Amino acid sequence: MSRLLTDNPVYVVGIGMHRYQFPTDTPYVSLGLTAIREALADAGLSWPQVGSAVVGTAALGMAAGRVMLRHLGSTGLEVAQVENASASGSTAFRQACLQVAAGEHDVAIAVGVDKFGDGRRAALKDGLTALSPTAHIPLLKFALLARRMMRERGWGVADIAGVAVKNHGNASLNPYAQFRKPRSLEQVLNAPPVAGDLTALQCTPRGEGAAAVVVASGAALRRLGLDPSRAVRVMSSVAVSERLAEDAADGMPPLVDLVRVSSQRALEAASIGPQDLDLVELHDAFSIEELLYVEAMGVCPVGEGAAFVGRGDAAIGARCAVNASGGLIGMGHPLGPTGIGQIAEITRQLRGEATGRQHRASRLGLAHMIGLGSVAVAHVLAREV
Amino acid sequence: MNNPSPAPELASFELARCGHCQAWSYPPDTWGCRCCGASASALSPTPAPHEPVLLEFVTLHTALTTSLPVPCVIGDVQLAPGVVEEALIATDGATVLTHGMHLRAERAPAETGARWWFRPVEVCA
Repeated sequence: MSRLLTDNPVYVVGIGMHRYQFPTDTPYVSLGLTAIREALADAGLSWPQVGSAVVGTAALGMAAGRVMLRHLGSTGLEVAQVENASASGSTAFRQACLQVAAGEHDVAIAVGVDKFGDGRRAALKDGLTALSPTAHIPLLKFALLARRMMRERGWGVADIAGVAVKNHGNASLNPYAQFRKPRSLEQVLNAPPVAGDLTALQCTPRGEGAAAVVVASGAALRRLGLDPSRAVRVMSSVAVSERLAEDAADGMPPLVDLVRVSSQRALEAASIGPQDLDLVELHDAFSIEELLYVEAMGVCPVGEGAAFVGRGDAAIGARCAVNASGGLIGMGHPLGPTGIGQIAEITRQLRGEATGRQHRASRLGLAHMIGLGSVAVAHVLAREV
Repeated sequence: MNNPSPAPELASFELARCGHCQAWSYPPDTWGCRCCGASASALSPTPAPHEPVLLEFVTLHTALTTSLPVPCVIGDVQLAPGVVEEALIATDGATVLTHGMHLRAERAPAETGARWWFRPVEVCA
């Protein structure tokens, strides 16, 4: 287990967002700069104080970073672009944290920005013919998984749809969310069917947006006079990929096992257990995911995901607020920004600044993201002061 | 999706078998063994060891690709030990399907965009 973040504390000191929204003609540069300027202002830092920028994007194409960042001033900082599918932003954040922990830079910024529709998947260029033309579309995998869980566990359509009701409700309280309307169970179930038992309101929307997070070393915190009470420590950072595509020993599909392994490693590296978590932001691109991932993370016992969400334990103010932001279903999932938006949400919550959707006084949060392939990236954040 | 192909060509549906670890992979022309990592030269195109089995299925209501007409039925199909692939099911509707059904691979109609689809054996008989 890497001790880099244990031995060299790294803190989130600034967060900024451009609201997630349905596709528009707004250039990505405008989206990204909005988030970056908000993050710098939040940190009380100026652009020349940032030593490195890691830009996470899945759909923009080559060299998106400098094209955007030059409008803040050409300071000579290190710039790199990261693509890791839906986990692009999470991976950018991880790289920024590791740069600071390794002593390469005192202050770095992770930026996620994306427009919908420009990206082409490498899986369609691998020279092989998949059995189904839908093979690389995640929706079908999760619709099939939902059906399997209903059959094996007796979960009903309302159990699964309940995730969407909760997360649309949370999103309605989040000014950065793509969807701002609370939805009833009836509305979710009666939305247009998409695949199997999943309706449109149980699926993440297409969209665009941006998120930015400034990270700094403990030394920089002191040297730059940053407010320690608003700094949130990055306790651990873990990235793994899926193992052989067979069910795990407990019968769970490889993707769920990936969530289990990655979150377990992140929690162990942070020296905490899943019951210590106050907040979780996770990849709920499709409603069924949240029920399976809270189990895989250990937030609730295996088999009790539906009961956990159904009795309100995952609600804001309850035992562990899951997707207080609205998650991918409600807040949106513009790819590059999503993982960094999770970090911003947990930071906002741990600071006690999530006006209108504030969870009870919280100390620990887990940000967990899945990327097509599949890959997983997990971070544990903590309020120390 | 309506079945437009009343007389499908019976085809030789194959997977890849690894000469080193004996694991199965799909497709047969894959770049290496998904289990032990042996190169493609160690893999041999081999007929499926058993009839494909339908593990799960759903109806797709929304057009996700330019080629695939909807509604249609997509299933998780076990092709060989350890090999489960998403595949198009040749059926007029999901109501005739059951879990564990045995399937037969057939050439899929061109308009589906798939090379193969899978028809329940019980329906074929």
